[in-house]
Amino acid sequence: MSAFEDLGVMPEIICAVEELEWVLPTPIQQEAIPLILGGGDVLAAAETGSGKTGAFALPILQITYETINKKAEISVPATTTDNNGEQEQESTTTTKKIEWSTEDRDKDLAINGLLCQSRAKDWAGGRVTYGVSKAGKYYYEATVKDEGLCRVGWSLKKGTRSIGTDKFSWGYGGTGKKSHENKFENFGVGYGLNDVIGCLLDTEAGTITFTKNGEDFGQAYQLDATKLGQVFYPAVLLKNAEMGFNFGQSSTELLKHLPKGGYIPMCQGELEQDQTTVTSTTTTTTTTSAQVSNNNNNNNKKGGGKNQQQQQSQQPQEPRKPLSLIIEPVKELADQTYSAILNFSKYLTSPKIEPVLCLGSDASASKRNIKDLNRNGDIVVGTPGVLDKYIREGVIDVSQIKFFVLDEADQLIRDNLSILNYIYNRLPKQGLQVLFFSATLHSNDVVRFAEQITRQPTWVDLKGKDYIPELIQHTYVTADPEKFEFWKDALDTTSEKHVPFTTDAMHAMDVKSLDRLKTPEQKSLAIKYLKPQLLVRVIRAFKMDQALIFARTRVDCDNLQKYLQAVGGGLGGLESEFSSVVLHGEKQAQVRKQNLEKFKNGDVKYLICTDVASRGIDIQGLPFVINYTLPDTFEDYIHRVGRVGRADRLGVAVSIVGKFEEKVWYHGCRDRGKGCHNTKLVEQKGCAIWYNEPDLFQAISEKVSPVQLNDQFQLDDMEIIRNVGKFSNESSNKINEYQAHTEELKNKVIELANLEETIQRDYLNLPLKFK
Amino acid sequence: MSVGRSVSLVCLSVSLCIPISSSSSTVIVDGMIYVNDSIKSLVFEELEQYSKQGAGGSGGFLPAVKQIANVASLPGIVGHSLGMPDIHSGYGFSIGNVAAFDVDDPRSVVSPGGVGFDINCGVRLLRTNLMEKDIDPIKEQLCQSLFDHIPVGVGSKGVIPMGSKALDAALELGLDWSLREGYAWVEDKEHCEEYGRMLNADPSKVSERAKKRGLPQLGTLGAGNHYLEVQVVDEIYDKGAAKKMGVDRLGQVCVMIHSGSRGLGHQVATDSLTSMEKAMARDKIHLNDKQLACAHISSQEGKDYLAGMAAAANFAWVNRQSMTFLARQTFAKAFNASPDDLDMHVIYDVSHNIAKFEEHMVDGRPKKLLVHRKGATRAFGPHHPLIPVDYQFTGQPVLIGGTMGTHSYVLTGTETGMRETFGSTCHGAGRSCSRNKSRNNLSYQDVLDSLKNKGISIRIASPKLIMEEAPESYKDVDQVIETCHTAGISQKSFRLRPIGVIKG
Repeated sequence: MSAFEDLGVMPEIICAVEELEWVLPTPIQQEAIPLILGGGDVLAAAETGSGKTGAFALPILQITYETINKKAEISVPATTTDNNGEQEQESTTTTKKIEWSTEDRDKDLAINGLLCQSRAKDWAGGRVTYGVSKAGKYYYEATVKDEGLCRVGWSLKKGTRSIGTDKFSWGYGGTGKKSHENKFENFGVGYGLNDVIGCLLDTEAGTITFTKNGEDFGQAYQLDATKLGQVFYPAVLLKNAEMGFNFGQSSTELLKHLPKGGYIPMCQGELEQDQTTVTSTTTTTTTTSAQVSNNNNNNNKKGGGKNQQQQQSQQPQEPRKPLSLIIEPVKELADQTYSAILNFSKYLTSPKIEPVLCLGSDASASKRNIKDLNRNGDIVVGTPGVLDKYIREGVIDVSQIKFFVLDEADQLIRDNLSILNYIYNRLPKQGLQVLFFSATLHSNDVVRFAEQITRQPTWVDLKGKDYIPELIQHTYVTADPEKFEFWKDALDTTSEKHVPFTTDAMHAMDVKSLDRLKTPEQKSLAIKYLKPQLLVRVIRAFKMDQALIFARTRVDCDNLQKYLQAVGGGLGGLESEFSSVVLHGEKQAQVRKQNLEKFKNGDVKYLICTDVASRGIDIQGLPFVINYTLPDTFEDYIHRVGRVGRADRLGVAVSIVGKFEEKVWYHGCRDRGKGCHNTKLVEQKGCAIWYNEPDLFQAISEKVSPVQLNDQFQLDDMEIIRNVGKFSNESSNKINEYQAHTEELKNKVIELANLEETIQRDYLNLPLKFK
Repeated sequence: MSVGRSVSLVCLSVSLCIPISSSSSTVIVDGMIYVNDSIKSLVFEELEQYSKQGAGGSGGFLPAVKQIANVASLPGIVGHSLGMPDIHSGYGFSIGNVAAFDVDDPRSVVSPGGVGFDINCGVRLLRTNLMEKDIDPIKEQLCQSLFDHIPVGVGSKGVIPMGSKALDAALELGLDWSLREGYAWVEDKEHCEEYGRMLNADPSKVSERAKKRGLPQLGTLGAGNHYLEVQVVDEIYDKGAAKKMGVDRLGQVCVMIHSGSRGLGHQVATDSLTSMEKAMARDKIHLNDKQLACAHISSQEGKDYLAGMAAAANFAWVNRQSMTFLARQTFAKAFNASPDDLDMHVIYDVSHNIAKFEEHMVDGRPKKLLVHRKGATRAFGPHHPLIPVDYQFTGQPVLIGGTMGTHSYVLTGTETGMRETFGSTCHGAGRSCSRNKSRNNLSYQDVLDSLKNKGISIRIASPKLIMEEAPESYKDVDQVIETCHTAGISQKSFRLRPIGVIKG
């Protein structure tokens, strides 16, 4: 038994987490689980090691399970005009209900009962479930709920969803134009937010008319005889807009401007569908509409895969489809999450929940995964690249996804924004719950993307805006080649201290000599030689036994490792003074895993890595982080230094900051730098930029005020270093903090308590006296 | 009190008496639950189900009756282990449990489980001079505006600026901090339990982690059963008492805020549970249930918890006060009048998750007790020296928040309550089925429709929460109140009906 019950977690999952000795939820779990179970979108700031995986995996597992068992199944609406999925199906068979068709629509058109919305850049359109054909006068209303580009009107089933662009549809647009067969003519006046557009169809006279807020603009189109007798459907086309519709079926919301002259609300007409589909709403309709979408809808070329999905989504007997999609930035994290879900779902039987892991590169594993996918995968966990591929190929069917989880969202957004967008656009929008977990919620990119894909998200930010880990001593040393001349040792083969260092070859062509540091190129190169030497000196000065070293590129990592090997006198484990391993994206997953393990187990002292590789890596009690090159944002700096000072232990971060700008690689080329020697700047279509470390440092410096190391590369107060990696003594860093008056007030509080006691005793005793 | 006797559940004028035997052999006092017929059957149903299922491996809490019995076995407990009519199972102690421990008995304990995770979760009621008809035309806008102004979630969207220094001050000063910073009126303080400040609070007994959690959460409502409601006076039972509270007309608009100490309190409780587990081994305290983790009141762990709990309680008051401030601003904007002109005074502010030192009669003699109230409200009778002067003749106002869409009540404390329940009464409707169960048994649409039919506007951040919080998941609040009223442990003053709900 545990307090997880308080959060609404189901007993079977509680049993499983109890076996993992989780009794009390961590802060992030306590805050996020009820919110996720509650069905809202959640943006959470949390780091690895805070119980984050449990915070999203537990509720997802539970809802996935509930959904499969048809429990707690609701659509997630913000308004009251929503429909329960199951009810909806029932009602269509018993009473015919007009609403926006979930099948006959473009992918970007989000529908919710009678509400349509599109947030995409392209037009998105759809038709309702039932139309009218019998002679009569029909009327419905559309109201603009959010301004954007709108067109409404009538359409036949064989028309495209791009209303007004073919022979089978007639539209009236917000710009004050009517359209048919792609001819746009002035009609009435324009309309916008809150305007109510009336759409009139008279199948006897064969006329289509539009009104705005009750104002009749007269006949818009005269239908030719061939069209009469066919089924006319209300249709809509939107671009970044939202419209609500009223077909007259609601008893509470009356039609606002029902015209005179025998017009009846659309819903009172004899509702029907095209002949081929009268009996059921399955295959035929969808095929027709899907063909239409293929043929005509130019923004929807990839309709083929969707076709199939739509058909399948109609048939509940089909094998289960994935309900949750979890994207992790790196393989290690995906792997961890996958195993965690396996653990949590131990007691969920009938049916058993099947998580599936999708990782790239590892071919045999992939094959196995595809098999898994075909066999009832419920929760898909993977990295962006491979998920992108599988979704494109239709290996993963995302038509039923209810949860979209972005773990380490800030990194995903930075590195794979287009993939995220692609995947997001493929997901059904109705009832979709988006969960964001990120180290920070305060970078603009994260906020912008979050706003795009979430609806009224709840923020779970346990850190606050300018959160900076508190238990870290920030320090720096300036790589000033004019001050520290020992970089010349790297070039002087005669020097005793000479250790060869291979630079990134950026200045192979433009710097001939380094006798004097005049040009920016010369200074840049000098910094390149200076930094590794500074690094070694810093490591020695601090007597670092274990440190995480961040470099900018893969090449930098590899070069640095070679250099450290040379300084330490060859390869080897702990006997080498500078034993190290490298972790970056180019290494194979297996190698990355091994390297990480080596470092974690203490088989090597230093781990050299890029930002990408470092995400989510949790190493207990890590004492030192070194920024060999500064990261390009403050968020990343926080993320890097956040590797130390975790779990209430003290840590030190050292930044080696170039005195001048340094010219570095910035490969935009096809092979991401392989065999690329184009040292022209990006602006000149090259693959290099000037990296302005002094500026970057300025920004960091303002926020965390790092301390400069002295000429011995030490801190003046080395006391701190002795405590590095140990648990912080909370009382030691209490200076300048709020001094409570507890001690001061102690006597008064006791006195007051005594007074209260006396008066209460009197209150209790007095009645006895007078009895 | 003999050791090893069975627990009997005694019921008063509501006419039920149900003896059951406890699995424990260390019971010190009787357990007693206030029930009526239907509540009784709910309570026993739960027990029956548990027994059928077989102990262990169920993954849920123990049934409430068992928990009451377990508490009756804690060292130093006096009187009864009391269950209020809204009782349901919780972590260790059931929610709706009142347990008092003799401070002079060195064996007596304090238990975080007896307070609950949401320390000083409580209810506050503001009155206005507006009538329902004034609200009606702008009800939707008003609800939206409240929803926009009062953050429901956690995080940097909180509007009360706060640094770590300010947080320490708030933890120490409670409502005095709000007053100093301009978020409170002087009169607000007078109408709060403890005047909105526990004097023994010590911010240094609150861990850094707890503070970190609290910092961005100030002035936020939180999810779960917390809410802010716009309500109207529906029925007045006791004109005199209602008048004292500034309520004299049917249809008068009030605002109810139900919230607590958020993550900060939760962390204080979690931290202390961990430290007490160690202390228990040292002090050789043996328990029937691990969740009852406790420490001697006089031990360091016990003292630390009480000081930390007091600080968390202060945080909760500051939190409710901050939302009061925001609600006042919202109303002022909506009606283009100052909060003062709208007469938006705090009627009272009660805490229903707290432990306090109080004097009570035990066996005919006054005794200093540590009274744990978990899901129970203090309800001091008339003339009690610790209630504000305004309410000396009525008894302490007791605010009972209903569930989403149901009535809320204002009661007053009684002499009977002082004698029988250490001056305590119920706190709300009380769950009748677990969150998980209600998720699966109720239809979202039905719940929503029924709210709509009642004319209640709702704004909710987590849509599915609506099932967990639906009236069907709770006991009938009217019955709970009636049971308390009939038993005489509190007296009905007036009833409120919601017209707008804001939920996390």
